[in-house]
Amino acid sequence: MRILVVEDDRKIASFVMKGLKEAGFAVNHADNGEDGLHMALSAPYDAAVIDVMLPKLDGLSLIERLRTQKVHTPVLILSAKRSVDDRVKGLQTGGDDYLTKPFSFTELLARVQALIRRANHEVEPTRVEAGDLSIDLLRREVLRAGRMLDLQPHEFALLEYLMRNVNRVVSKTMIIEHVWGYDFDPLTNVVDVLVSRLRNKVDRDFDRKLIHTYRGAGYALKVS
Amino acid sequence: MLLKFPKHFHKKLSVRLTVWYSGIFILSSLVFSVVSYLFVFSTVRDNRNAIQATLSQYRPKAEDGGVKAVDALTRRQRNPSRRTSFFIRVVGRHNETLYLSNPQLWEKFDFASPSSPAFQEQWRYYTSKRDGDLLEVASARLANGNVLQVGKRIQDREEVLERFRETLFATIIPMVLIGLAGGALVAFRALRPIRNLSLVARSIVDTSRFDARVPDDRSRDELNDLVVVFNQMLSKIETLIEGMKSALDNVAHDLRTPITRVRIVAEEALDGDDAARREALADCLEETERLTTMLDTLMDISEAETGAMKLSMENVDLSALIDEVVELYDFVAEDKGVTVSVNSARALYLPADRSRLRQVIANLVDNAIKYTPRGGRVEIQSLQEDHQVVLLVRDTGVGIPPDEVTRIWDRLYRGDKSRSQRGLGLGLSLVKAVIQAHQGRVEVSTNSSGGSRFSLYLPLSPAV
Repeated sequence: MRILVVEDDRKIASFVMKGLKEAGFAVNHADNGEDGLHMALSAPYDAAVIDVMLPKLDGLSLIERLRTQKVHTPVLILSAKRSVDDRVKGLQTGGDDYLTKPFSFTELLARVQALIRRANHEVEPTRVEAGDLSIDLLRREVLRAGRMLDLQPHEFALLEYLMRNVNRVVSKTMIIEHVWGYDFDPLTNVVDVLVSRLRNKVDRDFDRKLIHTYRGAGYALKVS
Repeated sequence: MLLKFPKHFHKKLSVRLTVWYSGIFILSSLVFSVVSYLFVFSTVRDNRNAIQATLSQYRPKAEDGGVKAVDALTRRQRNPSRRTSFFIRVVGRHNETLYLSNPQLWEKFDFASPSSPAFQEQWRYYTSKRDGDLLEVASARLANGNVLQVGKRIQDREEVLERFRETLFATIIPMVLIGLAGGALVAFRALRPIRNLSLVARSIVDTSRFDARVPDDRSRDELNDLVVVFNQMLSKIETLIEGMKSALDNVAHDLRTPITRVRIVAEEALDGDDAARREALADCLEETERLTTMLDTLMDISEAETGAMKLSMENVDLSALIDEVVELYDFVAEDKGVTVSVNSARALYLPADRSRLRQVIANLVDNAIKYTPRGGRVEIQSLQEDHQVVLLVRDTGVGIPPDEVTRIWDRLYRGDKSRSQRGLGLGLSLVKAVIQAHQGRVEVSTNSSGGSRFSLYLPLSPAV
């Protein structure tokens, strides 16, 4: 899997590249829009992470040029602008997902992986398993070690999301986006409450705890 | 003294207006004069035509029937004014009057003029010795040697035209002067608001002070409309700039505290063991997250307060939005042992920015649940009232002390009772700013039960 990172800030670029390499990706880097465009056109990438503010050619124009050249590499836009307008503009230009600075690397990684899965049209399984947990998406049933768990719809949605990202940290923002479909941050600990409820049902009666909290980053379901 | 004309003098609007006004005024006056002159001229000419016509009517009669026929024709004229207005005379070979119509009218004229050569000319004039009247006469020699004369009394044509011309030339100069003066006055007066406007604009450009305003003469003409709109624009810009300035100050100020916390945590971690460092790093991460949220919220508030917030207005069902938010806080309320009940009118549509309004409702519900103790109740009600929609959020919580009621909307203000709770102190400021950006208003009061009661009023039709 090859990923192109177009980012002019050296610190951020090396941080992102290091993380992506550790996650098993091959990474190429361009520190300006023109080089980025040239690289994206000359070799096939599985995904690209592109900053909006770039020297020589800005990120949105870069994406636009890629799309007019029929290059459909999935693109994650990085931006320091946060407003809904900017997000919409980014996605309309041809970006596939949008992440605002400051961001956590776990979130970036999860989003990149989701983009690649989506681009490869991975078939959605009807059954997801992780450790001794298994959920049946059609019958909306959850089993842990053969025991049926009774989950409410939001709890089910959260567990499904954690299981699809097994062993990976997902951020609160990502959970809100997936479970409720909102792109705003409720000021209170809505996610914490949901996680602790899920924990009560999934982990309380078992010695091995599966749901872990990563302070400042998010949550993960760990089976290894 | 030499008048020093400014550069591009001719390009000034006032000069052009003056020139146009004067030009049109003078031109139309001239056209009027010329038309009058032609009218007078043609009236004079008509006189001759009338005389000729009458002469050719009388001539055959005079040829055939002599004096008698002429007299008969005169008497036959039915119109008395026509009968008297024409002078008819038949003159013999020796310049003796053979016939004279209405002698009492014409006797005063002096016919004693040199004989034959006079009759060679078609037109001649007789003057009255008594009052200076003038008679214009056409003559025709008959076959028998007599002369038939037909005439009409006139003012002296030449004299009339001459005097007319004199008057005309005498009036042209005052006319031009009046035109110029009028044009200048009109231009000067009409353009006064524009001059004021550019003076004020110039002073703003020079001094960057946006508190100057153009004098408003309270009339309802187009230029004053421009002045009013210009002043409104200035007020808006002033608010915007002031808002931006204070937002910047606030943000800088508000960020110092959390940044200091991050710094302290990091400094301590440098001296600690591994476990302490991990803990400190996690603290830092959480602190940056809070910082980001705070920055975002502060920017939102500033944007909403200064009117820079872009609202994507659509028809939003308030009741459905309330349900969404309540669902979001379902577990939180349940965990806290607080009952949330909704009592809303079915489908209540209003123009609003959906995600902003959702955020507002979420903040209020969040707030209410946060400050309501276990076993308490939060009630949300929406209703329509005249031209507005009202959203009420009531709780049985700790309430707000009277001395804090006005301050709860302030940025980063946190009441004594809320300090123990997690929060930024920005939620209510955002609520107020966003609702005001929607042309609505917010109110807070204390319930009879001691809890607080927040009321939002939103207009049903967007204000212009």
